[in-house]
Amino acid sequence: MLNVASASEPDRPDLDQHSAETVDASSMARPRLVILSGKGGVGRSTVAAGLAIAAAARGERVLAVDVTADGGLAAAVASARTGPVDSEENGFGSLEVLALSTEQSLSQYVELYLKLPIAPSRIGPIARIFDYVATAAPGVREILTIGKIAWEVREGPWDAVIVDGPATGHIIELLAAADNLGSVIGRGVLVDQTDWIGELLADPVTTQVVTVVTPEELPTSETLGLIHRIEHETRVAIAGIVVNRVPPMLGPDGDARVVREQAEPGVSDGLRKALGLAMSRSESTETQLVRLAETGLPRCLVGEVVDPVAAVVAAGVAALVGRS
Amino acid sequence: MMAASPSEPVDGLLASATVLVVIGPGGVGKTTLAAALGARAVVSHQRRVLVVTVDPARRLAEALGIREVAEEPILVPAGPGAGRLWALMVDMARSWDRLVHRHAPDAKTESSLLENPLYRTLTTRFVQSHDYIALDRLADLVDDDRYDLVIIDTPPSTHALGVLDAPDRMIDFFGSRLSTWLTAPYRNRLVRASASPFLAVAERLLGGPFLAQIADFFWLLSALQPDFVRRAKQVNVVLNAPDTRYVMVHTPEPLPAQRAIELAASLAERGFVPSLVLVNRSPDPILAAVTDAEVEQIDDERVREAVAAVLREARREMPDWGDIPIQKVPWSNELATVADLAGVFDAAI
Repeated sequence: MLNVASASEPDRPDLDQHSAETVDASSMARPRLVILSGKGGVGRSTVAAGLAIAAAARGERVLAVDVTADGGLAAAVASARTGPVDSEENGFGSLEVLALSTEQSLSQYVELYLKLPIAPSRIGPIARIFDYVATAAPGVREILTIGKIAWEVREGPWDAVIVDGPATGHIIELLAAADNLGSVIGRGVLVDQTDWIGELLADPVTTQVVTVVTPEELPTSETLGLIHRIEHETRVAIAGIVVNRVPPMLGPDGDARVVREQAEPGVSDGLRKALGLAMSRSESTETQLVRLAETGLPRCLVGEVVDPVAAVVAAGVAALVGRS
Repeated sequence: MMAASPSEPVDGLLASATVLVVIGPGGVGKTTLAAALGARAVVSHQRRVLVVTVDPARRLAEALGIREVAEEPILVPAGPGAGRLWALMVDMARSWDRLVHRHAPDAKTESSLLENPLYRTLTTRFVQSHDYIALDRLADLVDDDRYDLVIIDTPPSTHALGVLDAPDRMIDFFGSRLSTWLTAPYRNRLVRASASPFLAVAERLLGGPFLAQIADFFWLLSALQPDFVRRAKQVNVVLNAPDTRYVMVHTPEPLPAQRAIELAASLAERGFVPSLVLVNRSPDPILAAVTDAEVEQIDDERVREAVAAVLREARREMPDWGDIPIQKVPWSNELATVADLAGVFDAAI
């Protein structure tokens, strides 16, 4: 077995050198609604699960919402809760996971806002039509989703609502739906409801977005583009960036030290290759971390580890949204 | 079973298939490998190949070294002694206009549809409309004498197999009560909103005028129905043809590998089995020979950890694909030319 313990210590000094300063939870807003965004495959669900668990661990009543309804969030939460984070000591709050489908959102929306009773057996076919129709008007499907989430924030018993958001391309539609819908369709209950939803999202005390990224070129570029769009096309505040799966880095003079190791007598071709890869990986990671630092947003780095959800909790990601 | 050469599975497929559908989760380099398959078929098998993509990132154009991919197939310079290589980027908006033009029963229906305020958003966002367009073009292209192999790079969608369901969904949609309900206000002005729970809900949610536009759109679209359904059935014939083969692409990371397995399972439900699995960005096998003892010899702690992380990745287990041939494709930075693309499989592991 290789020694993996060192890689699972998220507070490594070489990670710290890139987090402008350690995020101080007490200086951050503590929004009740936290929406996570990031390219598919960067570990968005893992970070959402980690945040939800961290909040629950400090005694909060937490609702974790999966808007993709692909089961990823529930699986991530389940995988972690069997682990050490679920200790029963020190008043663990509560944690519920909700997966939103169009059908569910629609039936709940109709029930909550229209006070129209629809037999459960009929909501299925109606939702199917709605799937077609909602696709027609930008924002209709999104308003059903964000409407349900906003309702939970306003009316539900939650201290924290953590949303595992849609992939990068669709988060803007979700965040801007309340503000944009009125320009597309005429008057109707949907439009009438958008005002308060828009205000709830625009209030940084209530709502913040956390972007999740891995320190690779493509995800980083996409995240920088996303941050720009959130800042310019929506009124929603950004709490910070979670840089997930940061590989062990070589630190200052890393190149020289790698070259020295490669020159050692008896180094095999395979090891020489691995040393070279470790060097180029460390360099490219460094480059991406610098690009992310240029946003000036608070950042939290999570190492590459065996138990990713626990790592998110351990890395103090929750500090970004005011939870220490 | 030992392959005679590392790229044998891919070459066998490229020599015989007439349609290749490249599938896999997002972000695994599907588009690049679709281009690489095309380049290889042209360079090593002298075939006349068309590579079709609907990926809006236009990465295929970059990979093929051509400035842009247009609506009509572009001939890609492939060098002497090669077959011929074309690339096509399907433009959603123009493809829909063309579809409407072809299927509309008369000029009035065509112009009313094109002028409907919802036409553009609906056709570019309509459930699986990307997938449908890609396949609609496929039906055209397979019969085109210029090509003897068509490679389809499937669109990155949440439902990666939506492309295969698109024809049936179109048939379903037009045949179902959905379209009847949507167009009900047109069929019978006496149908009051209150008579249909859908209309009652939709009208209160969306407002009357918007609903009228929607009904208008679907009413016009239903004029296209017979042709639509006929085409969808043709596309299904192509998808089920014996020389239409499926290539699965994933990377060694656990998540894409897992997604690929899930995709293959739903593919199997539709009666399709991949003929080849390409594991893109596979680690160099030389890394597997490095022992832990060697790593322990590294004095510098940080270097040791970084190397250990590299090796952990190199040792990741691959999913079990049973009898399906697997080809590992290494990471390549230099894919500037068709020859580079064709060579991707020479370096196969």
